[in-house]
This record gives sequence, structure tokens and C-alpha cells, in this order.
Amino acid sequence: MIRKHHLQSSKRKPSRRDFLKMSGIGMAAAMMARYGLAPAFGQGMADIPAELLPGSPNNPRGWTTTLPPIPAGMPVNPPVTITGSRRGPWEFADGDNIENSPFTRLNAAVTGIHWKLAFSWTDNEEEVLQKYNLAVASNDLPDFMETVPLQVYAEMLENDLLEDITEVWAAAAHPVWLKEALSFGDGAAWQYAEVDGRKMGLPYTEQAAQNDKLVWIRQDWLDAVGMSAPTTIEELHAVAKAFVEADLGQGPAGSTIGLAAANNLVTWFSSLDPIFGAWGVMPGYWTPNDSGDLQYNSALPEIKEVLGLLRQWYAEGIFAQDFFTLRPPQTAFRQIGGNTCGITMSPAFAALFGIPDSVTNDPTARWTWTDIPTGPTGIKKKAWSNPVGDVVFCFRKGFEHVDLVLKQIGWWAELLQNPENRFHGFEGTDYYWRDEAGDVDSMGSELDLASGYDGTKHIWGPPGTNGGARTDPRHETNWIKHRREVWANVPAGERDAMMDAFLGGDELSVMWDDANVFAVERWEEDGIRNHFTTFPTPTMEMVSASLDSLEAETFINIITGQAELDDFDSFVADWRAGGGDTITGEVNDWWHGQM
Amino acid sequence: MKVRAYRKRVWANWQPARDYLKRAWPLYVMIIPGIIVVLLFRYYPMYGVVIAFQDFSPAKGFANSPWVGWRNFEIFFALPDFGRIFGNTLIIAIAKIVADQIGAIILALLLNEARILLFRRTIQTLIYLPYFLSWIVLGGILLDVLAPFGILNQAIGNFGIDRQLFLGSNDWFRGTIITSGFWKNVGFSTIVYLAALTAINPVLHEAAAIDGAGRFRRIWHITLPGILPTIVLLAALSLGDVLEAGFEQILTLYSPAVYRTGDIIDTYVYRIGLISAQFSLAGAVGLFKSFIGFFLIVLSYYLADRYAGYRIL
Repeated sequence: MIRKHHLQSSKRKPSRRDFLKMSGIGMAAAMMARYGLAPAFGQGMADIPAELLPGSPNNPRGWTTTLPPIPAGMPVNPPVTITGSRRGPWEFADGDNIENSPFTRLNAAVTGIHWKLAFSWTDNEEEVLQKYNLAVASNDLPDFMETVPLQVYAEMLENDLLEDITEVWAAAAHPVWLKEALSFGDGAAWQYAEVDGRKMGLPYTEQAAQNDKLVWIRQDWLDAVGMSAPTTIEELHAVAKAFVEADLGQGPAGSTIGLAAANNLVTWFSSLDPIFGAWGVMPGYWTPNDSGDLQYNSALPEIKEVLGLLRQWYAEGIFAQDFFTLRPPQTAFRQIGGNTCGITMSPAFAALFGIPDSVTNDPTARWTWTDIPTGPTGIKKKAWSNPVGDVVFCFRKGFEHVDLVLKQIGWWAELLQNPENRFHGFEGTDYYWRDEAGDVDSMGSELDLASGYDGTKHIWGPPGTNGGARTDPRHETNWIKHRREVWANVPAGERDAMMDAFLGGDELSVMWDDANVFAVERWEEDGIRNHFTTFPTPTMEMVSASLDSLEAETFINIITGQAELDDFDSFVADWRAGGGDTITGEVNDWWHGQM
Repeated sequence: MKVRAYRKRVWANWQPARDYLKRAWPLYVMIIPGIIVVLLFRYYPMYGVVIAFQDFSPAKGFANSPWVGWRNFEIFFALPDFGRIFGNTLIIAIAKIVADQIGAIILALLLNEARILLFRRTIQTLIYLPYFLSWIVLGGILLDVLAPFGILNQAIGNFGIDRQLFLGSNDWFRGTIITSGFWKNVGFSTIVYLAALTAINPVLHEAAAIDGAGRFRRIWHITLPGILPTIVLLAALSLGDVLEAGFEQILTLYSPAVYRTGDIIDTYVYRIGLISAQFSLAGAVGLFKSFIGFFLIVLSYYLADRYAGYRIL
């Protein structure tokens, strides 16, 4: 039954969801090389029964998965049972479930930990809130809590329901796969999980630079107007304008737009953040000024300059007349997919989201990508995307086995994220052998093996969990590099089935790999980081809705010409008088308290 | 003896009631589940309104959250945008009620005059079809239809009219909301009027026709007076909705550019909720709306009784 389902659904085109799932496990890292560690067989590995081991060493052209060293003192004896909450749904081979699967059986053999499901929820924001609120209200928290939403987390903190893991973390966390992996972005990983210098949980980490923008542009249109890919804001403007004037789009006459934009100027797809970045500012972000105080970027004079520029571009027809009514995915389906737009500033995954529709609707469409443009003063910046999700992994106050859970997490993190280990889940649960030729197909995924699989959702704790939490934000990029630098050098006839399945790929997925590697390379350097990384201040809670509305309304109306450019000045005055000054004070109290 | 006689007299007095109960008890049993459901889901949760006067936190529960008096209401009324969102809510909701009622009456009259049954049934089905689609689905459709290069703009372009931003301009947004709300709901609203129309005795129409009355005269003198009580009743009852401007609809169709004309209480509170879980403020807003709704409902039942002879007790 399960197999059939997956064979059928594998014909579906990948969606953004699939893409997100791909922040998959097999995608681990050339970290070994980075840290100079030699692959090691752990002590006690001989004790683990062969039938519990992942990989397919005995199949024709199969491969062997190497297990990391077993943490000191494990497996614990007598075994311990730990309760946890999980996000479902899962699919297992017959007879298995979330408490008893190849993952938990191997885990029990390695660590001595048995997991018991306290409660679960599916992909639904309200349900997870309801479940956690209920657990809080009935004072019945599981030992380990997966992806607690921030508002419940704040609630739990306020009522002292969570275990402070600071000391245990220092003693028991894996030096490379937890401590080193979560040290990126100047502590940005811990923006929620650390409160007043105390670690109150573990961060939820996704792929680095996942939403960092590149300029995606129609190569065939560039050829048609005889221009080359833009490197500055000025050139971007010239190209976009040329596209509009040549009216190269598929829609009705005059419907071609130069640059895709959405209802938020700074967003995850078809964003304008690199244009603001070219002036060194980012609307909605708090960044340090010369005197070391945080300042709210939306109220800075540079924003007025950019708004003036965007206003001119809108008047020239470079944006869709109604761009501000479109949500980001609608720009992907309508404008990019509808082949009415020539440029979008979108993340690497645009190669798999929007652009495939464009190519389907117009087989002659050719897309390419390039770095974001440089501003008039030589600045080149974009919104930095923090790979930390707004959820936290938490431990119940008084739970005595935090050290064991951390050790387990470190062990799995190494197994999953180091590509040398060659972990791709368990035969029969995550993939199966399709025929004599040794082709494998992933059973745990709607995509094929080459694109990753989501078997990691069966693992308790990060890495793993439904939705793709990892500990190393560069795991996916490292995996791409490993694939290209190591596997690609193996002669075609000598590759095993896992290599075969992951190597290759069509033009767009190769383009996605390239863009991904590039975006991660520029990740820390080109990003403007929002330095305000804590819960809303009291005044924010009171007036943010009002100030944010005012800001969004003013900016959009200035761009579309429904308001004058000088209305920006009255916005700044209103913002400051309406609570902005008080908020700035509160934000800086927090900021200076941090340092 | 005396007691016995007394008993007998009492039993005699109660006899009709007993007979009635003997006949009707299954009906009373049948409404018990309904009453339980109403008590459980309509009255029991009402004690939750206390959160409007608390700084509610789910961890502390209703019993232990600190009391803050009227603070949440003060915050709500002191919101800088309160006047704007309250005005938008009233304008959109009232325009919707008026358009819906008048449209439904006209449509019902037209359908009533249609001779061919198949035609009437088909039209009736078609006009109340959108009622069953969610705003999420309709929002996507409208976004396409009303886009700068959408069907509507193409159509008016053929008459030499400039492209309009129906969803993006403050001149058009309320009109778009009211019209699309009308389109979605009017078919369903006509059903009650059509039912009322069937109650009019056809003899009246026949007599008027023999006396030489034309269609419009008959509508004016027979049909309309015939459904007047229904019109008054529905108009009065819709008073309770004057703060319901259509949250889902506006949420799917609005954008920052039209906050000035399209932001309503519900969408604003939704945005407040996005920033942090302010249960208490949302509770206060809900209570405020219920409070106004309560008075309007009392008023509407009074009007319904006075002008349409409709009463529940």
C-alpha cells in the first residue's frame, strides 16, 4: 500500500513543501574535511546487531553506513524511558510506529533510551498551540518537547516550567555537531533558545541562506534586448526597463513587467530587499548605528531615497500595477509561471519553485541567476535569513536525563550530517530495492532518492523531526559539495546505487545546486542582520500593529503614487510620536543589557 | 375526605396537561440534546469573557490570571486607528446589509415572475452556488478576475475605459468588497423571500389580472404587500450584523494600500494577534462587539414585534 502510494505521487512536480523537506538528511557535510577528523568506528559497535544497522551492504551495488563513535557511558543500563511530543504524520512499514521503528530500535541499542509518545499533532498551527496550551494548563508536560511555538515557550518560561540546560549543554553537547554547528551568525542560533544568558532549550535550525536572494533573470530576454546580466542597481533598472519596453511577455499587449514584487517589500520570494540593501538599510530591521545603539531602519533617510527610486520604477511600469495585492507565491505562479516577468529577486529554490512553471508554459524560456546588484556607493547587501525557526526544543523542569538526550542528539547529528557516514535511512522504511539492476527508489519521500528523503522525521529530537530540523545549517550545501567533489570522481561503472541515484539531475536542479552553494558562500558576508532578536517589548505589543500598518500603507502608497514622497517625513514623525521613540528606548535597554 | 377532594380537583385541573404530555413527551425528549448542545457550546464558554478583564495567560488559567479591570478596553479604544477601523466596519457592514436585502427582494420578484420553471430553477441554482465556496477559493478567483489584465479590465477596456485597480485603490476597494459579498450571498438570501412569495394566494393575482392590472401593478399592490412582513422582519433581524463586515473576505482581498478604506475591527485585531498572543485584548474586542450586538438584537426583536408581528415568546 505505502509503496504504491509513493510510486504514484512521485510523478507529482516538486512543490515548495517538497523542497523544504529536502533540507534532508543524506545531505550532510564535508565537515570531516573541515575539522580534520578521521572516520572512526566507535567503541561497542560490534555489540549492535547487524539487523539494526542502516544502509544496504549486502545488496548488489549497495553501500555501507558507518556509525559514529558511541557516546561515553552509553548505552545506559538500565535503559530509561523518556516521554516526548512530536509533530506527525508519519508513515511506516507494516507493524512499525513512531515508538518502535528502525530508528528507535537502533537508538535504543546505541543509547539505551526508549521513547514514549506523549502527544502529537499534524501540520497545523492551531493544533500545535492547542496541544501545548493544554499540556501547560493541565501541568502535564512531556520530558522533551519538540518545536514549541514561541508564544507557548514564552508562557512556559514565565511560569518556570522549563529546565535550564546551560551546564548540561556545556558538559554533554557534541563539540562539533552541536556546539560548533550552532555557533553561526554571532550567536544568532540561540536567539530564542537562550534567555538572559541561560540556555532554556535547543534551537530549530534549517538550511543556511534558505531565503537569501539572488537575481533570477530571463537569459532569452537578455539576448533579445542585447544586454548582459545586471551587476549594479542602474543596470538592473536599465534591463528591467528594456524588458518592459520590448514587451516580451506572454500576456496581453503591455502586460510585461520588469521586476516581480509582492505585498511585502521584504519577503521570502520576489523580494525587493537587495535594492534596500544596496543603500545599506533594511525596512523593519534593527541594526547598530555608529554610536552602537540599535536604530529602526524603516525610519532612516536612505529608505526615502529607495522609495523614491521604486516610485519612479513603478511609474515606468517595471512593477505590476497591482504588485502589492499579490502574496509571494502568487508572484511565482502568476508572474514567473505566467511568463509576464523578466526578473525576480528570489532564493536559490526559485529554480524549483516558479521557474519550472515558466519553462512548462514556454519551453523556450531560459533562466539564469546572478549575484545581487551593487548600489551607487558600492554597497551590496541583502536581508540575512536566520536558519533558526521560531520554535524551540524544550525540556520539562525537573527532567533528570537532559544529558542523555543531548548525547543522543549529538550522535544522530553526526550520523546524519557527515556525508562520509553515508546514511540514507533504513531499507524497507526509507527506500527499497526496485529491481535487479540495483536502482533504488525512496519510499519515505514523494521525490526520488536523488532529491533527498524525509525519513529523518522518524528520529526523536533534532536532527530529525517532521519539517527538517538539523543542527548544522550548512549540511545541505556541504552535501552538494561532497557529491560533486568526491562522488563525481568515482568512475561511472564503479558507483554504488546511492551515488547513482544522487548524481545527475536535470538542468534546473543543477542550477539550484549552484545557486545554493553560491548563496551559502555569500551568506554571512552579504547579509544585513536584524539585531533585535527577542520577544516584543511592552510598547511593541501595544502599538506595533498600528505602526506596522502605518508603515506598510505609507511605503506602498508612496511607491504607487497614491501618496507623495514627502509623506515619508510625516510617517517618521508619526512613527516616533506614536510609540517609536519609546520602543527605540526599550530595544536599546535590551540591547545594551545583552552586551 | 377534604384532602381527597382537593387532590381530585387538582388532578382534574391538570388533566389536559397530562394528556398533552402523554402525547407530546417524545418531542420534549428530542429537544434535550439540542438544549445540551446550546448550554455546552453557547453558555458554558461564556465564563471565558472574564479574560477580557484579565491579563490572561494560559499557564495561569482563568482562576489565577491577574485582574486588570477595564485596561484592555482602554487600550482598544485608545488605538490610534480606532476611529478608522470602526468607521470602515460600520460602512461596509451596513452597505452589505442594504445591498443584500434590496438585491434579494428584487431577485426574488424577478424569479417569481419567470414563467418557465426550468429557467427559474437554473437561475436560482446558479446564483446561490457561490454561497457554498469559501472566501479562500473565491479570493483567488477574484484576484484573477479583477487583476489589471484580468477579465473585467479587459472587458471595460473594450469600451475605452482605463484599467482600474479594483483591489488596490481606495476608490474601489469598498465597492469591490460590497459587490463581491453581494454576489456570494444574495442567492442564499433570496430563498426566504421566494418562500414568502409562495404563500401569497394566487386568487389575488388572478382577480387583479381580470380587473386589468399589469405585471408591475400586481407586484406593487399584491406581491410586495404580501411579503412586507418578511421584509420588515429580515431587515430588523439583520441589525445584529452591523459590526460583521466579513473578516475572511477582507483578509483574503485587502492589502496595505487599502487599509484606509478597508481595514476593519476584525482584521486589525488579527494583526495585533500576529505580533503576540494577546488573548485578553482579543477577548475585550469580542466582548465589545457582542455588547453592541446584544442591544441591536433586543432592538431588532422589538422592531420585528412592532412592525411585523414576529415574536419568539
